[in-house]
Order: sequence, then structure tokens, then C-alpha cells
Amino acid sequence: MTMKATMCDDMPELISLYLDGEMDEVARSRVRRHTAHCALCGTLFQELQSIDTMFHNAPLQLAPVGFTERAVQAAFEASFRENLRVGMVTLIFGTVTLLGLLLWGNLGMVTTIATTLVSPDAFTGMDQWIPSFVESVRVFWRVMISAVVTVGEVLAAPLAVTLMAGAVSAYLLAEILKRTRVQMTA
Amino acid sequence: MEAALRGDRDAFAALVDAYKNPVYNLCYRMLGSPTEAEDAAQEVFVKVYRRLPTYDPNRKLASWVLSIASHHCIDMIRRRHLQTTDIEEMPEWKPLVSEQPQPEKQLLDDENEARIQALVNQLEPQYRAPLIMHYWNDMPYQEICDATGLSLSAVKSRLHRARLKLAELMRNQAPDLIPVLGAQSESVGA
Repeated sequence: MTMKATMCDDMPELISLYLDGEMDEVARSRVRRHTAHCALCGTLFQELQSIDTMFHNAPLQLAPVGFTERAVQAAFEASFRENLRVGMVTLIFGTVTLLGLLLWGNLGMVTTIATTLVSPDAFTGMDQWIPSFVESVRVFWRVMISAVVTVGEVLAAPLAVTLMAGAVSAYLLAEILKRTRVQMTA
Repeated sequence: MEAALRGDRDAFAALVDAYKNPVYNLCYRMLGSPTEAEDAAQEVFVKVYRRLPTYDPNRKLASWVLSIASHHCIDMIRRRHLQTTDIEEMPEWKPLVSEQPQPEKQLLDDENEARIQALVNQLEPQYRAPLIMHYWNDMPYQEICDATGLSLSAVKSRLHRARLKLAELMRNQAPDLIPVLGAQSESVGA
């Protein structure tokens, strides 16, 4: 009695394994024998077998016409947008890094240029500059060009290094962000 | 695969072509609506393209693609709060009406197909994915494990519970779909 009850308790799971072909022949014949003699398990066996047959015969739903083209288009557009976003992040981060490093490292030079522009000497003869606009522009450009040349001469090497460091770090950050995003959505 | 990874459009199109039906079928069976299924299948291939660099060649490609599809569908179901099994909230089953004259058998098949899908819709999403992979993709247990990330015992258990749940639903809602139940209900009615 107890053995039969245990057999019946285990039978639903055994029937599933039977239907999936996950049993050796000895176990299969045991299931067949039991379900042939036990009305309750026999009915369950028939039910589950019918469901199994019905689902095996249910047709595969086919993708609509033109699906491939639409899916490929969507994938390439999404990829383009993603690359654009990464590019923008790279550009913004690179620019900010570069400007930050330049300002931080060369605050003295900026101060010098600003001081030169607003020094009393620069505005000497201002009343003469006004009638002579060309002369004032020439003075302004001379100051600017000399400042650029000075900055270029003094900072050529650090500038190049900073530029490269900024670009490399921006690229690495963008890649890390991209990979993190992929893993998060995985 | 390598060509698709390099961004070759034709190679990726060939990949989509090879897996579009299993993916669409999985999405349709999981979500229960053709419109949602098409959107979901498209999003699945967007994810596949984005994740190509992370694909492990030792893994079966079909399992990998279907794994992305099943996770995507489960996420969609969670997001859209479709995780309801309340029978009262399920749309009432109606026979399919075709405007075109159809052979009787085809119409009956379509009706039964719609009823089968209505029953699948009532299963918990975590039971749906293994069931669909087993029946429609003919995947063995081990491949279902690979695609769903479940252990072997969990896959067996979910398939078994899904079948029991389907049997229960059919007894209550569609006894005529199971011949043995149909015969019982007819004899009771007589």
C-alpha cells in the first residue's frame, strides 16, 4: 500500500521523463506497467502524452516577410547610434581633459598674457588707437601671435603629451563604458 | 560569423536569416502577440549584433541567440506587467474568423493553435521558455540549460511543472483538446 502510494507520488515526474526519452528501458517498462494498472496514473499518463503530441505537432510561427531586412537595418542603425554616443563621450571627455590639464599646468602663462593685454602699456595712447583702427588690430594680433608662438615653443612637447594622454584616456573610458553597458544588458 | 563581427552587412543578414524563425517563434510563444513578437525579435537581433564581440565560439550559436531572446522576452513580460495568470484577466477565447474561404481542417488547426497559445500565455514566464525550446526548437535538456542558464534539475522540473499546469488548464478550459478528456466530458454530458 505504502509502496503503491510512493509509486503514485513519483509517477507524474517519471511520466515527464518517460515522454522526454530520459529513461532506460527498464524504467520505461516500469512506468508502462504501473500506468496500465493504476487508473489515476493511467489517466495522467494519457493526458500528458496527448499534450506532448499536441505541442510537438504545433507549427513553428514564421517570421513575417521582410523581417531580415528590417532587423539588419535596425541593428546597424542602433550600432551607429551607439558608436556616435561613444564618439561624443570621447570627444567631450578628451576636450575637457585637455583644457583642464592646459589650464592647470599653464596658469602662469595665461596670467601673463592677460596681464600683458590689460597692462597700462597696452593701453597707452588709446586715444591714438581709436582713429587708427588698423594699428590697434595690428597690435592686438601681434600680442596674440607672440602669445601663441610663446605657448607653442614652451609647451610643444607637454602639449603633445597631454593631447595624446587625453585622447588615450578618453578612448579607454569610452571602451570601459561600452563594455560595462553590454555586460549590464547581458 | 567572423565577417558579421567585422561589420559585414550580408554576413549578419545571413545570420538573421538562419535564426529569424526560431527567434520569432520563441518571442511569439512567450509574448502571445504577433506585433509584440516582431518588435521583440528585432530587438533581439539588435542585441545579438551588439554582443557579437562577446560571443564564445565554444558555445552553440543557436543556444546563444535563443538565450538572448528568452531573456529579452522575460524582461519584456516583467516590464509590461504581463506576468498575470489570473484567468479572469485573460482575453476570452473566440473562434478565428477568416474572410477567405478555408478548408475546414485548416480552420480547425488555426483554432486549436490559437487555443494552445492562449494556454501557453497562462503559464509563468519562467516555465514558458524551457517548454518552447523543448517543443518548438527540439532542444535537448543540456542545450536548454545553456540557453536559460538553469541547472539540469531546474530544466526538468520546469518542463514537468509546465506540463502539469497545462494539463490542469486544459481540464478546466479546453477538455476537447485532449482526446482522453474530451471523451470523458462527452460521456459525462451524455
